[in-house]
Amino acid sequence: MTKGVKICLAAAVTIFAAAAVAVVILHRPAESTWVEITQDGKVLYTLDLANFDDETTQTIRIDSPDGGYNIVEIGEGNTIRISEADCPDKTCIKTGTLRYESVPIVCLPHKLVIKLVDEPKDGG
Amino acid sequence: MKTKRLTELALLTAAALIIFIVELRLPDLSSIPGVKLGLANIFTVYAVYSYRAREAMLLLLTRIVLGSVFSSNFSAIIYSLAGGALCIAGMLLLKRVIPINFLWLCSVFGAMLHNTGQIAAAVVLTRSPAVFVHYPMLVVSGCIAGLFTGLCAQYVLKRLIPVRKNETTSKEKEE
Repeated sequence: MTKGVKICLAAAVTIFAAAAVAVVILHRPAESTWVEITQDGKVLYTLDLANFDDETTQTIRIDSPDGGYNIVEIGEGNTIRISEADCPDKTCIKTGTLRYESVPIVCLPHKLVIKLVDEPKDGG
Repeated sequence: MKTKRLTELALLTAAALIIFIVELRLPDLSSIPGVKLGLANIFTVYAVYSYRAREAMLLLLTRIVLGSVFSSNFSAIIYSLAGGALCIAGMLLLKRVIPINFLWLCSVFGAMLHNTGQIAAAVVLTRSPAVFVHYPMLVVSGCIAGLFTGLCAQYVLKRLIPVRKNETTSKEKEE
C-alpha cells in the first residue's frame, strides 16, 4: 500500500463516517405531532395530528395558484402523506409518510411544503 | 482511433446501456431520488483504468445521452451530466494515485463525487438549498454502491488482463 492509497482510504473512511453520523442526526424520529402545511411561504394549515381519529382517513385537497393540486391524506395512526398530485415528478408521493423533523415533504412544482413543527405555545 | 479500439468501446457502451436499462426496471431502493446501485458505472470504472482519459469520457457521455433517450427521461439528463462529469474527472485524477489493486477505492470516490454533482445540480436548478438534507444519505449510499461497482470492475479487469496480454503477444508473433 503506497502513501497515496493510505491517504485516500483514510479520506474515504472519514467522509463515510461523517455522512453516516449526519444521516443519524437528520433522521431522528419526530417528537412533535404538530404539522404545518405551507404553500409559497404562506401557512395554509397548522394541524395537531393527535387530534385526528386514529382509524379513519381524512383528506385535504390543496389547489395550487397555478392550476395543479395535491391531496394530503391524514391516515391511520396519525400519519400524514401526499396521496395524489398532478405534478410531473411525483417526488412528494414517493417521499411517503412524514417522519422526520428535518426531512419535510416537498412538492417543488406546486411550492407545497409539509413539515413537522413545535407545538404552538399559545395552544394553537 | 483504431477500428479495434472503437469496436471495443462501442461494445462496452452497449453493455453498459443494457445494464442501465435493466436497472431501471428494478424498484426504487429508497424514496430519495438518486439512491441506486448505478451498475452501469462498472463499465465507467473499467474504462477509466483500461482506456485513455478521452475514451473513458466518450464512453460515459454516450452512455448518459443514449441512456436518457432510451429511458425517455430527459429531465434527469442535467443531473446525470453534472454527476458524471465530476465523477469521471475525479476518477481520472485519482487513477494516478490509486493503483489497479485498489480500484474499488477510486470507484467509491467516483460515486461520492457523482452524487455531489447531482445534488449541486439539483440545488442550482430548484434554487432550494433544502435539497441538501438528502446529501449525507446520498454519500452513504454512494459509498456502498461505489464499493460494489468498483469490486465488480476490479474482478472483471483482473480476469481480462491475462487475456489482453495473450492478444498482444500473439499479435507480435504474427508480425
